[in-house]
Amino acid sequence: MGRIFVGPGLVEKTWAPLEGKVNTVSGRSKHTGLAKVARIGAALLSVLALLCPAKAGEVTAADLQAAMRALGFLTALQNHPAITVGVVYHDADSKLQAARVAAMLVRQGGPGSATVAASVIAVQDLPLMAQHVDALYLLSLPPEAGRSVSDFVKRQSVVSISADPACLEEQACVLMVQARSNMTIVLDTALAQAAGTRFSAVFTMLVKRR
Amino acid sequence: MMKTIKLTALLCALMLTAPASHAQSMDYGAIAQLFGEPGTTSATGSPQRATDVPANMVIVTAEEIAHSGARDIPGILRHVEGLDVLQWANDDFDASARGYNQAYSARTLVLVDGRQVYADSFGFTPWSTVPVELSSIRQIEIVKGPNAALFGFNAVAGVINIITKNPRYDDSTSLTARYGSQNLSDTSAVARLAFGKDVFVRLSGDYRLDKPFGTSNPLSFDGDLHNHNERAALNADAVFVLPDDLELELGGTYSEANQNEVSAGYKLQTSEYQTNSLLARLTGDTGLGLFKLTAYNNWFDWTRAVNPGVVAPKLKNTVTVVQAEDVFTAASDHTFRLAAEYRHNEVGTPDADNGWVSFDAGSVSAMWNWQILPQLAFNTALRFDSVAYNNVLPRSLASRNGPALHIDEWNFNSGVVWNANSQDTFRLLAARGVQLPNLVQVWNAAASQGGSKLLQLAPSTVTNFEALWNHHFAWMDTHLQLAVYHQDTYDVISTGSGTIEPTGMPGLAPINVGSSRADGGEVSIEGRLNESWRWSASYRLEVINDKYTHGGSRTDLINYQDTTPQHVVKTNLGWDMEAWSADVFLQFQSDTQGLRRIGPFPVPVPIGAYSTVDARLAYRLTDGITVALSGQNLLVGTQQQTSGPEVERQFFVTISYGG
Repeated sequence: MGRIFVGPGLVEKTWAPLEGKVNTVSGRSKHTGLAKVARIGAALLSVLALLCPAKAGEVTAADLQAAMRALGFLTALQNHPAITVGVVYHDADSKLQAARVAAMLVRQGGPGSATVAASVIAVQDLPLMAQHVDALYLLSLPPEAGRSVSDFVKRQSVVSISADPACLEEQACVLMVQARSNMTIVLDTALAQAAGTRFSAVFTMLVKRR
Repeated sequence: MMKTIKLTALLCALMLTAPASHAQSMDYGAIAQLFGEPGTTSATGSPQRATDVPANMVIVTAEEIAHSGARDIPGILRHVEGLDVLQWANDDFDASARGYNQAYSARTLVLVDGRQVYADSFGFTPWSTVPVELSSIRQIEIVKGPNAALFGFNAVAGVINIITKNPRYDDSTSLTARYGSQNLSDTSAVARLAFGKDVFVRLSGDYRLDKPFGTSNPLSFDGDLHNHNERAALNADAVFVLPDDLELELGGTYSEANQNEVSAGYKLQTSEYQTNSLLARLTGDTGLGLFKLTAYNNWFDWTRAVNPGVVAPKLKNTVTVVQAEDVFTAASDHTFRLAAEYRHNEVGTPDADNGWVSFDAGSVSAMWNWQILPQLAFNTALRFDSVAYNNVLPRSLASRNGPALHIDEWNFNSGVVWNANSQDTFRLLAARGVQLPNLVQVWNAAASQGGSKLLQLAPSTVTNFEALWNHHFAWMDTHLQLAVYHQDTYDVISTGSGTIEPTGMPGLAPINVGSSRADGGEVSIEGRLNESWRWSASYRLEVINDKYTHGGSRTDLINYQDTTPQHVVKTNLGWDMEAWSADVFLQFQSDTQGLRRIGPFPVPVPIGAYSTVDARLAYRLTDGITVALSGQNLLVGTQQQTSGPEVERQFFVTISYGG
């Protein structure tokens, strides 16, 4: 009786109702047709994500679900009915993955009952991007991309999240959220402060800080 | 009292002038969803994941409470590894971590959402008076070993903190009806109401009626025994979300219990309890950290038979507590908690004017958590308590001014937590806690000693050293915990008469008699076979040696070494399949002894090794309605588990909606 807790936590693998929309922002282009494909793909991916262990660098449904739940502790987003998330990629190979991730985010929904509108953003476009997003979800990025992401985060006062631990070294992500065998959440307090983003104190005490 | 009000007003003013604040109280549900494990503040005062706490902690979740099939809190606790629960009579229990259990067990502090429900008058927890319904419990947090640096006095064997669902975040609306053997009928209801986005209310109530065990009673008894036990409880909690997102919680409780029970003197007696409480708590996530100001008052009235045909005057115990704490982070590696507490505690027989005893206690405490490396954390907490007693002696004595007693004590909790890898966590823990003599003991000692000298009675101190290893096997999602511990109790206090006599004469005064040492180990393992099957097993070995160097001829000594079972095994097998759910709990404990009052002496009597089985079979009729058949002590019709009346087999059906 009673649970013995060690390292790994249970990860809930349920899906929110399909809501929201997916946009692809590469420079100034938008491919709304991709959204349908992405939604179908996301549904298939979600099934696979439940069955297959994650490979290194791969974003799982559990990672995304945890990332959205973590956003629920961001004071600026509490009780928001809808949020916008930009999924950031860096090359043509990762663009399709970004679209899949965006579709999965839309499908899952945001913190609480919030809906998600997701955009796909090339990291090269961040310096000139004026579109408002509430959060960035970063795929694995090369080290040289860290600077432009952190500049954007500070300029736009948004939260950047990634499942790739390397993002912490590149000072690109405010939160590293990785739901593998362990639920690992690391908060970059310096970047969060520079971006002017604030999480509830309860949350900051529950996660690892650096 | 005026000082308390002024202090409260001052702290409220400070709170309201603090920098703008944000989300504040613990949303246990959101935390469990995000991390896949419960969050808790019961280890250090700071919010932590269960895997990170520098303590040996077990958290019983709401789901596990439902699976337990229990109809009361002790029925849940008896399945928890490392907890000893004695069932003296129907509805009369004592719970203690790691043995040292006795009638009116004093060493384990019990709280509901941080409010003490442990009764200081005699130093015990009358479980029937705890005004909480099972369906309103979010989780029960059990810390084994002293945790006095956070919770203060009497948290020496362990702490049981019952966390209820927060009406702001959780809908606990439910209706439960239970009928069973021993003429059991129990109806409880919980309603959660939301008024806009800023006001949330939870109301709950319960009425229970059953009859005492009909088995032969080996104990002498006082007064006329009741032919039925009765319990009623009401609880109201309101949460107000204030401007700047401060949160104000107001709560009130009422409970009443009339039951047969076994007294600290190991006699069967009838007790009638009435408790009330009022609580106010202001919480804010300010720029200065997580700030919490709590003030509460407990009223505890108790009438009991103390001799055949003689009912003691009503014993009134009033506790006033004001606590302020701030938990904050400094840099990325350090978390601190600073806290202060004032407590006034008073017990007496105002109706009979036979005297009273009280204390005023001031406490300051500090906690420091240092994340040395991502995998390595060090935690230490210190608490200093200063307690000053006042007393007025019985009218029968020449002088009504008793001797003074002043106690200054340090408590500490320290621990290192090393997450060696994703499978292994190691913990090294050290702690010291202080157990005060209960108020009636102090009064007895003062009345016995008289005059104006200093009172010769010291608190008991408990030190605990412990090592833990947790391992996760991916195979069958299995979790293993191994713990070894060594515990010393110094200045063990004899029980004394434990009464304010109705005649006005002081009872037998307690004395410090010596020390007691415990060495033990626990192994517990749990896992899942697949989505349908759950299982757990635990084993505890504990050896206690009492070393009493004083008072060998006294009649009020507690025998810990012979009354704590050396071997305890607990297992659980659970199964879920669509609308069906079944659980079986098997417990074994080795032979031991129990105290039984024979003439003026509590005499050890043998209690043979025994096994018990509890079980529950439930069917979910709809998404909201569940019907369950539960049984307790199923192996035999009656069984000797304590030195009191034999425990009877029980069956009951529970129909529940919501929760």
